Amino acid sequence: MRTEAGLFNFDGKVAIVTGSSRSIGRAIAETFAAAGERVAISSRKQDSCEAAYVNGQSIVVVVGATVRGTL
Amino acid sequence: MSGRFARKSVVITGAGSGIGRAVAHLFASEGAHVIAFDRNESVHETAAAHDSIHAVIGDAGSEADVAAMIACATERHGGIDILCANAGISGGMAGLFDQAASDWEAVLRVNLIGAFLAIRFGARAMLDAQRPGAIICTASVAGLRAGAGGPAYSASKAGVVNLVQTAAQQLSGTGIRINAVCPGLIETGMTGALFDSARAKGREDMIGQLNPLRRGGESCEIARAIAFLASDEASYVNGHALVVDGGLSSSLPFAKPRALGESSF
Repeated sequence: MRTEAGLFNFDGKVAIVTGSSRSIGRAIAETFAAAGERVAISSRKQDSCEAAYVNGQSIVVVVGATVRGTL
Repeated sequence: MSGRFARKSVVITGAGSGIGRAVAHLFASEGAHVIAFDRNESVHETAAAHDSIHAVIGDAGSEADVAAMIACATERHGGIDILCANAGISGGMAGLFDQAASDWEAVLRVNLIGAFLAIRFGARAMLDAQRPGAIICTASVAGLRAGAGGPAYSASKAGVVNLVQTAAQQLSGTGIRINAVCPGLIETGMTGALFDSARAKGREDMIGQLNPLRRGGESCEIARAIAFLASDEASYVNGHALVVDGGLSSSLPFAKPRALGESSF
């Protein structure tokens, strides 16, 4: 039986959010980070990623999501 | 009591077993005051698990019973914040030529008219108390595609999906959100015979093999989806039918898919 507790508990998980320097992507990254997850923020623009840095656990990765191999 | 649903007033129909019972326990464990409604005495067992669950016996397809239950919830808890119209019956798997109008009437009465009555009286109570809340109806993947239930059951659940859309539109501007959850194959009081039969034949491992997760679901997995739709985390989700079926309805039943790395032959 899976437990009923633990909704939105992401302790110890790692998330990658593409397009996360602003708007919906940024909100996704912030939501994961608030739930205990380590988040890799991704955008093609280094400046945007640094601006979106969420907390001490976040890692900024600058990539083009459409470029094969960079993720 | 603390929790996501602290002091929320919750009403659940069909709370005597299965998904409804799991929903009652989940909300109660997160701080809600729950009215558990069912025509079966088993609803007292549901209520026995938590002090904050109050059992009410009644028929989800009866206008008088639903009205009385909603009045009871309003009186006890000062209003209703969350309404789960969950009561349902399968009506068996008899095919088109083996069902009579009376079979359809029995299924539609509980599954579709029951949902309508819960919405009608529940939403009215929310509006009267000026406490716009969340309504969640239990539909089914059988209401989206053929092959997951008998004809009357499937049509009734398709009706529930549209009722949710229609009600969302009719409740425009009120702040009330209404959504459906569409479970796949879940072991409950309603589907218990199917699971028992598979176990009796030693074929328990076949249960749920048509969905990509390759297992049947559990009531608590539907309860968690319902709790999400009821919560402020779903504050912009409205008029939606959320599928929770392990991926069953996402693919065509062409062939059992291989797992990654599994041999083709």
